[in-house]
Amino acid sequence: MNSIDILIPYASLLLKGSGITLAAWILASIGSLLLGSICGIASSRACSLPAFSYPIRLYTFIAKGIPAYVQILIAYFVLPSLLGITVSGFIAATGALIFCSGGYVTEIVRTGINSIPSGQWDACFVLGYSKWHALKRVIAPQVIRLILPILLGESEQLLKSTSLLATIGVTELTRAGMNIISRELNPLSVYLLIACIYLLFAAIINILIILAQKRMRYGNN
Amino acid sequence: MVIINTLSVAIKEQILLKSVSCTLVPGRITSFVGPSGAGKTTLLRAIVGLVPLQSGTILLNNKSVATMSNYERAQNIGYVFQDFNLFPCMTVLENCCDALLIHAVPLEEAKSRASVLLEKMGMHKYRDKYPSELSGGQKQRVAIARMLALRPSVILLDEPTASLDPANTDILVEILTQCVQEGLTVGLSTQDMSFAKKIIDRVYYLENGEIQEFCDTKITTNLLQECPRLRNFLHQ
Repeated sequence: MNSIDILIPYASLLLKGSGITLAAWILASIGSLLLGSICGIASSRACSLPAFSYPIRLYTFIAKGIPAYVQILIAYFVLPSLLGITVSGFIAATGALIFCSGGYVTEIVRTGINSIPSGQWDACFVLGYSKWHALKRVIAPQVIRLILPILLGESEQLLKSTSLLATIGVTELTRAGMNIISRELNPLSVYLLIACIYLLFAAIINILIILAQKRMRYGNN
Repeated sequence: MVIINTLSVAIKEQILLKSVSCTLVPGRITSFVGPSGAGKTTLLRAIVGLVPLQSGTILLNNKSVATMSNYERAQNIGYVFQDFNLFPCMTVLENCCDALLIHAVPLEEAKSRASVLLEKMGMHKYRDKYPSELSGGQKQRVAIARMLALRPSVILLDEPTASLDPANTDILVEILTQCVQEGLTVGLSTQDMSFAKKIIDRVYYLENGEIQEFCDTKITTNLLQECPRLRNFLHQ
């Protein structure tokens, strides 16, 4: 029996693991994008209220300063007992990834908005745009074009971080592979296959980056 | 008519305008000339609400500009920035239409209004281009079209010839002359002597945030005697 044949009986386990990895990745990407966009806009020049700015700076400091692994452990072992609730490993870990990645997305969005020249805001003001209209129609398209590759890069990082779900017993792709290895004692083919699946997902993100960049191109820029 | 009364502007304890009083008259070109740092741009930016006033009033047809909403002021006063500030993510036509949509003009009407103005500015064939594909002179004409699309009664231009070659400067003079003939109130700042001579009509000479001299070509008969600093400035 060659090394590929060994894996065939575990196809459904690997598929299920891939599905959990994909679900955690998509949920964490969407969640961190929402959280980061709200915090990024609230702490940027578009809003610039100290009431928002300082708590958000504290949040990004915590989210970026604590390793994602530790955040997952806190979310799974500490917070539920503090709050007196029960959460599944998948929800706790995905929530922790959203919190962690949201800090980075906040910085990306804030920097993106603040990097737009003040003349663009002035032009909107002079033409009678409200702040919301200026943000939506003029600033956001420029910011999205600027930060999209960085955001997709962050999403790629998030994909790799989903392997941390294995540490609290969630049978995502890496954990599924480890389970197979413990039964078949053939780490080479299993780890190679897992690495290829991660690369496939990463390739999808890279294709998305290229397509998005092409779509967002305007003029000579 | 715009009446500016004892206007003072200070930013971070630095006084930029000291008790400036002047008027902008319909059907005339009012120029603010003077050396760099004289306060010309600050004065124009104060009129459109881009810098906070320390004291004084700006009246547009006897209504204080400070009490107008951003939306209302934009419908009355147009402003062209020195570096144009066109929206890079929009085509030339979209740049001219978008503000109209904000001001509740229906899309078709906004497009036709913008098209007419672009035609007038000789920019119609560039309607689908992006600002990054245009030259400085073309960008400026788009910026003027964008401003005129809102049909303001007062138009202000900050250093309009700063990035123009002589040919484009002549085109600008033609456009401004047309605006004046249509009864618009035109105000601009410049330190370009040759341009200032071409459009000389009503001129305020500023230095150190203060108006030093005023010359109205319809009244002033002897520039040398009545406005020696302005004359020197124009003949530098």
